[in-house]
Amino acid sequence: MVMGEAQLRERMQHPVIQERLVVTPLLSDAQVKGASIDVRLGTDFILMKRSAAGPIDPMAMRTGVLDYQERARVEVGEKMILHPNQLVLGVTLEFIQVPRDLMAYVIGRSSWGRLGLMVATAVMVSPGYRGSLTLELANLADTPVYLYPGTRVAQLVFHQVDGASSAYAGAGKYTGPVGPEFSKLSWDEDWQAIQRMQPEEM
Amino acid sequence: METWHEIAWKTWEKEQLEAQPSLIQEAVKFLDEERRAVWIERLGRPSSACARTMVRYIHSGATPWLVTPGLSWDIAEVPSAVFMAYPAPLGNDPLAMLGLGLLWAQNRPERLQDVVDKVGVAAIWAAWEGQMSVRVGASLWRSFVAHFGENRTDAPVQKFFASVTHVDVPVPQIAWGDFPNYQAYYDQLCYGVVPHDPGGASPHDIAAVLLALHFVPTPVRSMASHLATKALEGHLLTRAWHRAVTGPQEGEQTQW
Repeated sequence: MVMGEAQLRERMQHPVIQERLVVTPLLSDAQVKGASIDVRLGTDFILMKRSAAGPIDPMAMRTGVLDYQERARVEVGEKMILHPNQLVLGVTLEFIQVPRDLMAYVIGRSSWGRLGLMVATAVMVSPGYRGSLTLELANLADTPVYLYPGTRVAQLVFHQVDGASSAYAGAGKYTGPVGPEFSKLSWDEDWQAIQRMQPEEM
Repeated sequence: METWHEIAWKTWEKEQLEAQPSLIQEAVKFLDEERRAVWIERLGRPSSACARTMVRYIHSGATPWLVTPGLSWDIAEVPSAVFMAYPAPLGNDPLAMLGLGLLWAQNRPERLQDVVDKVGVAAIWAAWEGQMSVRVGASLWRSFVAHFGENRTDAPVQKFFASVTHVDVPVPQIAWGDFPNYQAYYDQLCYGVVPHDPGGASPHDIAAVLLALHFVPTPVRSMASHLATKALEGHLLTRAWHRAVTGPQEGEQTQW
């Protein structure tokens, strides 16, 4: 069931912090509208850069990730350029808590999409998530485009989760950040199994 | 004739300053040779986002504050700017960075009042959190005790200021306002969310957020510092957003 405006507002006022839907700072009350909450582009970015250290190996990414990234801060009122085929990691301006009985989908605004901007690939926000949302921003068009922190860049659509009991908070890889986070793919437990399954050298 | 050392120092200074804005290039001219080199070297390092955010919140006076990370607190005032350094390891904590306000104010009553107007009693805790010289907050402490009594603080702060009795400073007349109710923000910080008001609004009382941060247990302090900084950023953004939508209020400061 998709939550409507009245339900969203009610959950945002919930007196019990664990049950509260948190989206802060909410610069404009109009961000909560219809069946979604608009989120804005934050001020911190991770720019992917070319590295002489070799390709990214998702199996061995716990060290050396700084070779591939550069952090940048662009204040509201300033702008940064996103070149064609460039990927940057951005973050929502808002810090979000999704209560344990809800989940959310991140949907890029079509107005940006029509300029070639892809806003997010990890579109599901799990029950119990707490933190700002890292946004994968890619320019799929042939023309550079400016990004302006503070602009509404995506919307969150919340769903009720029936019988939900597992929580993201505490055990998740991405809980609690207030800025963009680089991939933590190498934290997956599956890698140990995959490493053991590699064929032995003859 | 200049020695090669003198030429080398001048060349280094010129190269360092080329990358700096004209404001800094002009301001360092007021410093003596030795101090100038120290500040030029410091200004090559970017200040933390938290320190910059706190400066935006507490800045007072007509001259800009040029804030850099260092190994200890330091200040140099020239006619066109105030150079300030803070201990780099503390740079991500907003309560410690509030020490920049105390550093600027020293024991001057009118400046102390400016700081208290913005952060209330949190200024007292900032002196301890920022590991500052007890002299810096001495007169503010005496005024606080005269107004609220010593027991409104906790043991670490009382211990920190215990030696103030030996410091010869006046007791300024400070309009303190009410002691903030920080419990709700404390609960939010300990739980692990950015302090906020009902409906997701940014906290209306930054003094309460900063005071709440002091009482957060050490194991979660680093995380809570980031959350409190985010709340401060949200407060500033909300204020700026409201101003942009409705226009500045009468008497409101619109530039830092």
